[in-house]
Amino acid sequence: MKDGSTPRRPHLAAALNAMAVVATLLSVGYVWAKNTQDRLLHSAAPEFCHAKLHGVALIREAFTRPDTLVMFGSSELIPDVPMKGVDFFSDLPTGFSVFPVGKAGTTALSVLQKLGGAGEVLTGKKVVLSLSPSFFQTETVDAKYFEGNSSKLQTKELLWSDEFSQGLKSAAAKQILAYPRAYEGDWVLGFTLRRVASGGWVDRVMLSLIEPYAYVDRAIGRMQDHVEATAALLEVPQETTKSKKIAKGKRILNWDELFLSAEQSSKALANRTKRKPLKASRRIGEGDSLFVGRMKKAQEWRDFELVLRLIKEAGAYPLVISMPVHADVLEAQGVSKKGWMEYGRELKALTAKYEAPLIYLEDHERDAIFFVDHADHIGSKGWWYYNKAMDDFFHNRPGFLPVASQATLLR
Amino acid sequence: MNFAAVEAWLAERPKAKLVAYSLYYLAIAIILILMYGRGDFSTPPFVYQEF
Repeated sequence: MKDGSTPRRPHLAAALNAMAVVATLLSVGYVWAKNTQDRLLHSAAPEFCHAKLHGVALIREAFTRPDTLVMFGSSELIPDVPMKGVDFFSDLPTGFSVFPVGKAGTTALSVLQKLGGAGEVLTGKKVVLSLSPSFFQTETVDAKYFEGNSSKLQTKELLWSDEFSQGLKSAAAKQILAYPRAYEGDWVLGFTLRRVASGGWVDRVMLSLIEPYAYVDRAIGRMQDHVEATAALLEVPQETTKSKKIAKGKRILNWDELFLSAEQSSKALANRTKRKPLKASRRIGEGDSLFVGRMKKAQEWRDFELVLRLIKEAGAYPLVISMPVHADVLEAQGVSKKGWMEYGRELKALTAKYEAPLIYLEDHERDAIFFVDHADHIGSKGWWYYNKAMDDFFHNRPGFLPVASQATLLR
Repeated sequence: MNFAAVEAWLAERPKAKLVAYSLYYLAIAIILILMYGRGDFSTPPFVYQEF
């Protein structure tokens, strides 16, 4: 443009100017959002907002922090009981805090999505998986549980990630396709799921054709995720945020003393919430074959195996903690110890296959104060065991040394 | 507002015209970001019966 003359393409020049301003604003906004997430991440630890559970930004941020241990679980993460992991470690008493991810009904397939969304940041990181035995006692996963915990963005990140093998992604896609509500209204996701599940050469060509579009689609989703995550963090009350900053540093915890305190809290809670006696529907032993048959066919095993496989492929280090079964509930259903021990056997075999350390708290099957109710919701005493295990795991104490990843073997 | 007069005024001032057009496109971009900038990460609702 000559000085004082009209530009040859005034609209093009103006649009480029506007795009440059927008790009600058987005870049500044992205840096600000990342800084905010870094600064306030710990305040999101006790939250159950959509951005944390169904986005990828906060989970990825938690994995990148050396002072944070990410824990996946389900409804046991919700009840407010003394010594709950997120509260117990909130002031980093031994140098780390716990970042729990999950809510009611978060089964293994949902955990698979969330871990898949973290992608390459999983490499070399520790992750805790809390298992609810009740998920393994039915043949199928309740569709509402998965749909209510599913995330389109996490699924896309998993399916388009280069970190995981085609076999794993195909198996995951086949499982997710069984829940149409998890991808309805998003043709990119539906298309990707079908093509990845099929895995033929035509499917791969079609995936290559939409790859640029899918990349832009995910990029927009990630930007939206950063906006949502930052907004969610800023919505956490300021006093809560401040309280998370106190007393950072290592202390020597007296676990024996803490155990007594946890037991007292659990007893007090049990006295307040008297449980109704269970009515026996069958004689003990009569329900064994039904229980074992259902348990062995449970879809949750297949989904949980995918989780262990993903962790191994990513080169991360898992710790699996399974709460005990409820002996009184199972006995009322006619299941004997011989029957429910099959759950422990299956669990030990599967975790051994993937060299994942397992803590199965089977000694507490008849412990009336381990749980707060007859569902898989642990009380203070239960949390003591969880907290001790997580502390030992984080600090690589004997029995918790990470096994060298054999990711390449499975690719 | 007399648009013809505005157009004539802008036609005589190319730099002002460029700035006006730039602001116009910038406004469109900002409106689009405000409309679609926040994602929806909600899931289908479900009622958990175990509590």
